[in-house]
Amino acid sequence: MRKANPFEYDAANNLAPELIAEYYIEDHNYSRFLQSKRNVFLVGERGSGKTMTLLYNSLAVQRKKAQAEGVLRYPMDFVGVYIPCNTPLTHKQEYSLLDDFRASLISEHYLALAITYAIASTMAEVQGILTPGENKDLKEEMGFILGEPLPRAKFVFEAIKRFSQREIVKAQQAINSASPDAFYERAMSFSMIVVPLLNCLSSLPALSGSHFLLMLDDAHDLNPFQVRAMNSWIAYRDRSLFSFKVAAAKVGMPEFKTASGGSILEGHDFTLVDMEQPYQFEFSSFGQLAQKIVSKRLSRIDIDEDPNKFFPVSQQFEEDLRECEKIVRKRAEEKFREGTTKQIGDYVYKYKRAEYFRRRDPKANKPPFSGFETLVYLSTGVVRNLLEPCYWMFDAVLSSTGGHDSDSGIGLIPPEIQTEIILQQSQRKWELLKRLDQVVYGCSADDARRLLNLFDMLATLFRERLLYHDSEPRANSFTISGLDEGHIIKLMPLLNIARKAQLLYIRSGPAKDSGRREEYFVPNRMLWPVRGIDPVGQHARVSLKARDLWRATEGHKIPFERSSEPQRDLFSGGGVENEG
Amino acid sequence: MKVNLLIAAASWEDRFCLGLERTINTASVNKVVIFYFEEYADWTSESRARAKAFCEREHVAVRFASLKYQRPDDAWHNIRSVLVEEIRPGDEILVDISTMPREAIWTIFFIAEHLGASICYNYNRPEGYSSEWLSRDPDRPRFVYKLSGVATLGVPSILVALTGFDVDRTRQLINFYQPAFTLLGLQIGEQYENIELNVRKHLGLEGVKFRQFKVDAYAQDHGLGAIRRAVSPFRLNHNLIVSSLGPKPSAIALYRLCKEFPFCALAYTPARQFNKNYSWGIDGAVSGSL
Repeated sequence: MRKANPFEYDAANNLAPELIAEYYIEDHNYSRFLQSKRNVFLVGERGSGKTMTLLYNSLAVQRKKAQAEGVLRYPMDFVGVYIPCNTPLTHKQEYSLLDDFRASLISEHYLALAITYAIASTMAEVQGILTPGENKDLKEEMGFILGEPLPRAKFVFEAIKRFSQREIVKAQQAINSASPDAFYERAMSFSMIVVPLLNCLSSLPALSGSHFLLMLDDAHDLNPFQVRAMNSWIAYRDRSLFSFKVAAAKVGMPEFKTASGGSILEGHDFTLVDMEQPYQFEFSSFGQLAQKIVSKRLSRIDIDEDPNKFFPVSQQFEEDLRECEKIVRKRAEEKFREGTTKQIGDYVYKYKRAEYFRRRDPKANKPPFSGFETLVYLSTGVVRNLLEPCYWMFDAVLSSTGGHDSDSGIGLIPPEIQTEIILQQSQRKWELLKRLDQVVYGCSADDARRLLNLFDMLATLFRERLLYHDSEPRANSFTISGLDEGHIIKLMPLLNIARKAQLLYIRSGPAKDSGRREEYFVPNRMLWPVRGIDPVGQHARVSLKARDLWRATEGHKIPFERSSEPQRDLFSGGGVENEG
Repeated sequence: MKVNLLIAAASWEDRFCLGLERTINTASVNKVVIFYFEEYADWTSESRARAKAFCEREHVAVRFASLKYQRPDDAWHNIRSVLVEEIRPGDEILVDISTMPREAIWTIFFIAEHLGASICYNYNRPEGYSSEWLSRDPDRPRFVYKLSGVATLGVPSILVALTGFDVDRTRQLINFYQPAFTLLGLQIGEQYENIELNVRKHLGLEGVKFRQFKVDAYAQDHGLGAIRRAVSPFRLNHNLIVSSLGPKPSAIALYRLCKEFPFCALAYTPARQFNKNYSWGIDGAVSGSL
């Protein structure tokens, strides 16, 4: 039988509700915030799980999940309505031919009707929610509110869908007419159609006390007038009936201004959830989430294996690492003669992997990158980055069996295949860097050249630190110091391009000064294997001067002083691997 | 051939002046409107001066009108106000699309049609293209004003991309609009290493759900029949986003498609840089009427 690849990382919108209900992990990612009455912004770059989180909380998926769990009647306490914004309707630009007032009206009309349609579609999926009498009453009530009878349809929700469809078509036809100031005079607002509809629904016995989660996906695609309208709705004080859950990319995130010129505030009007997780070590939230995601995916194809066993570490690597541990432990015991066990343990933990990289023969192949822990670190805290190499690894093993499950099944991914795929994926990231101007909108050839130089110099720096730095050899993220206005103007647009390409992530963490938090930059760790840099560990941030980073974009090395001589090669008698 | 109004876009490419001269020498042209982009005004100043001198010598009235390439709203209003002044219902107009950005072609067609003009077009092939890049640094894609179609709520989107030599540009469009799947219209023929650089590269697109169909932008209908057959099955339950990244005449086919199927949205990806040595010389012409 042909085996399905369980690590499919297709866009969540293309997954069936059953699959979303099955794959989604609720723990370790704040997703339960969504089943609440607060307004929530989910931010993160592509692949961080925003759409999956919204879809998981949609009524369709929640009901499937309840069904699978044997719940006879799904409690309609929270009704999740998924509203995609990356649609042709949102990308329409004609509003910008109009004056601001009319532009705002037509923009809100499009969005309000898209929300109305999504609400009606969601409710239409629930069989038997209305008695015939309620169906008739609701139809009449909505007709009264809208000032005209709803289109003919047996069920009220179908009638509302048809009404929305008709109004959206009429509005577009009017706006697309040749006149420069073409406008649709019957434009409707959120408070004219969405709020009355929700009020009507809440008066139904089956939905009394229900709270509607209006979940807008890809809100960065909304036009500025729609963003301001949405923020105004978010600013409503009464959240008993509905709240907004808004997913957006971090780069190009919508502004927080309202239509009336005010603004919405984090903490007061909404909660902000960063979908990219800063830490990837085993017991971190993301480490545990990754473990559960992969276990669940494996169980779907009847593999009940611990991810650490399914993606085993190379035996040779483990042996070499043990050797290094012994050496480092001996050094620690000499260094901390009166030291505590913890001091020695910390030292060993910090230096044993660096020792391994320092002692490799320069002529040797790249280290055998393998193991589930390595995969989790390589993801840099982004779910899709975790699934992608797993997908290709599984595919490689499957290909070796002709795409069919063998009698014994796929029990594990051999370390050599893991290494091969990791190095391939790593190489591809560098290839992407070479043609960023062809891939990222707004990236010029000059920007692309500068970014390639910058990442090249960062790789050189991190490699040199790994080999020669005494106190923090395994640093692979950085903060920026000396960021004056001139450098902000030059450097930040470049870094934003790298973020758009998911080659760089911004995280927030405690600064060295007590109590303060700072933003720091984490390059996608998949860049490192092909450059011989250890992707595992998050022990230190390097503070880099903005001036040096800018010079790095021009191909100059980032200053680094070697603090110790390299160790002799342990494994083959050679010197230190010296790889540019 | 009698032409009330010839509309062209000024360019630093040889074929702009050579094409203008060829048209004026072979047709009876009353007036010429030449749009030029402010961002490239320096690059086109010489050729505009040459065009002006030629028109004066040939006693053909000429009007220059500037547009802002990076301000599509402004450009739309300017094109409209010029055409409203210059076109009377029933006028025969000829649009030289050779050096005109697709967005301007579609806008001119749309407005001129609305004003009741009878529209012909002309595309002059160059003798050759630069062996380096032609255009680069693509900006965010955008729908063309008034040709953004009539979208339906609650249905998936399909991207129809008539491909060219730049597979990354196709991938960018896919990443931007994230369609349920993509219909790739692959140009037939072996010109300019088409099979190797266009067809094979696109068929190798990884991680993209696509179907393919063959199209010939140089056919009499510029591929409209093939595109129509490809999109027809989806007309009732999908929103379609269509874009031309291949040979320029395919823009004609897409315009006609959008007039025929109003559920199609025309998308354009502006480039932020053009090669000063984009092309040289002038070769044969492709022409027709809308």
